[in-house]
Amino acid sequence: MISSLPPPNPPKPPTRRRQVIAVGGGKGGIGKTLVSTSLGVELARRGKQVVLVDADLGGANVHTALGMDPPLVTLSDVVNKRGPRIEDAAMPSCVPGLRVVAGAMDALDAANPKYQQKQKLLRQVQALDVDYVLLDLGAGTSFNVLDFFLVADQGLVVLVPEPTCIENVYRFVKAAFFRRLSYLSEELPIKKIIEEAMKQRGAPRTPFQLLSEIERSVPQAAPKIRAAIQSFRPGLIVNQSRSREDLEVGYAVSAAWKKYFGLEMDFLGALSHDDEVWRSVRKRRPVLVEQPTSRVARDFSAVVNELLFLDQQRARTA
Amino acid sequence: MNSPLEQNFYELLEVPRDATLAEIDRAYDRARAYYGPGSVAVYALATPDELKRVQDRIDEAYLVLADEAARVEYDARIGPPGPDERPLRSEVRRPPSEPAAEPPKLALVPEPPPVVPAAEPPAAAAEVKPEPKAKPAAVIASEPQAKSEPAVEPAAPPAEAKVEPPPTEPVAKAPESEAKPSEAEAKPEVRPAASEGPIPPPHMASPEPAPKAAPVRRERPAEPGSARLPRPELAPDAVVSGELLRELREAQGLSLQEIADRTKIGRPHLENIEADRFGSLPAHVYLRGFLMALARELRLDPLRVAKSYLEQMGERPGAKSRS
Repeated sequence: MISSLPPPNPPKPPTRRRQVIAVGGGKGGIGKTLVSTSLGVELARRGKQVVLVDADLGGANVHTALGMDPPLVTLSDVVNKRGPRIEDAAMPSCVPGLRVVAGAMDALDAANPKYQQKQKLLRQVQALDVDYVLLDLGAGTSFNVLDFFLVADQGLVVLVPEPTCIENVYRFVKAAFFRRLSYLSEELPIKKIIEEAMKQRGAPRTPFQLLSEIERSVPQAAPKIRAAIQSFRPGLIVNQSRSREDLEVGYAVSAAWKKYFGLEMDFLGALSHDDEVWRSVRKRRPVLVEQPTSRVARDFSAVVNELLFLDQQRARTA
Repeated sequence: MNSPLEQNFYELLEVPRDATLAEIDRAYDRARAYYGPGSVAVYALATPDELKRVQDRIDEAYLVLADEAARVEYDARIGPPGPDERPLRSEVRRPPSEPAAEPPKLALVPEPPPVVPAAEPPAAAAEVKPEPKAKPAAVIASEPQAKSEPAVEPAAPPAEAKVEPPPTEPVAKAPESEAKPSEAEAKPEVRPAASEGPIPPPHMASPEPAPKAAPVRRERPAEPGSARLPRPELAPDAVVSGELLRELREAQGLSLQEIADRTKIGRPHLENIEADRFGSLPAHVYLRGFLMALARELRLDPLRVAKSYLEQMGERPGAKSRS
């Protein structure tokens, strides 16, 4: 069925090897799994080797979205002491080049992995020998979700243009940002300052104000904090866009995030609301395979273009 | 980057210190759309009170930056730009070695806007002074001070006021400005430049030497029949309708075609505005730009005109809002 797909877009120059991309967003039911599976299909179509890890601990369903049989080997096996390595748990999907590590089906221990287990998993994810590792995250802002988000080279947040979801996106990126700073506070004496900043209500102190405070009181910590601030730059994808106003929400959110919080967020594009998505989900088939010429498929292609473009640009300036 | 309440007006509107008036207009529209009362993007970021204060400050920023004299004074007050501010247009326009990167495509490419008023040459800044305070006068009152001016420069001002080819639009745009649908396709790549190199004080690089204290308001090249001396004043409670705009235009002896030529707004749009044909008007965001440009031609306060017109338009049933 792959031969029926339209030819992929013009080839891009090779990007860095093993780019880890995490797809989160805080709220449930906003299309995180749709985005991560479709990114997987689109990248694989462009000839990349992709492993999609269903890191929605406790709510895994990537295998269903891709029409795969209930998996025999899952993430909970990988987490286990004598379990397989993650690359051995990656099962081929219906798209050549795209392999899937299915999420834990039921095991409670995988939904709440011990610290050691999680570290092992994160290390293995980072060591996969592929072009792209995609992490499909669960809802919420628990540390498990945030840690997977932060292990990625590129975090993506998905947003449905509704106030509830926008609120959760801000909450999610804020939580992720402070989680990253809290990693640093393990080695630097800044715990108190960060805790104070997190507690603040109303207009948050921006990270830059936090930075100048740290520069004053703990100058030796400042360079690392500055680097953490500058490198925290999630991408934003608007899902279920029905109008130009919905598209504008993407721009507005990334602009408002910068205006009020001082951090960058790259808007990568909007995915049209498309009944083909709903039909494909019913059939348990990825929409990009089932309806490769649909509007939403074109949107995904454009989003991936933008993602690769930004990545290249970042690699160039780095 | 400071919090929005501490940002200076340029930072607040996200424009470089030497932004043209047209850029300031667009930036203001964008700021209203993104951070204004109707935006869904901000409410979760701050308290309602803080949001309101930022919105008021955005209005204030526009009133100052769109008024040349006030802007000069403001510039002097805030001193040279800080390291976080946008690079000057003149800096960005001189591209270093790096070729402009291929503009990435958007997922949902918005259709191009009907007509976008071209960037005005900097000299235009001198002539379009909005009147922040409407005097409690009749709808139209002539202002004696205006009498002598147009006659002063019967010959068209020199080349600079002519058409400097509209600076290749996106060059000076910084990331946020890509958000305007009209510019979405031409996404400029100025991000890296933002932190590079020392930024000269604004006056050094400014393409337009700022006139000193009492700015001579430079009138446009005198148009045939432009003994348009009376300077209109809107009564404080005047509701701006298409009808009123037409009256004000005619009172100044301006034809629709003249305005269309100068603002680059299509004549049909202007006709629709004057006839209150709301159903035929372009999307809100463009309409606002048109109204402000038209108001400037009529020497009215652009903010008030746009706001009042859009408000009364919103009250009519069946008037489409955006899209």
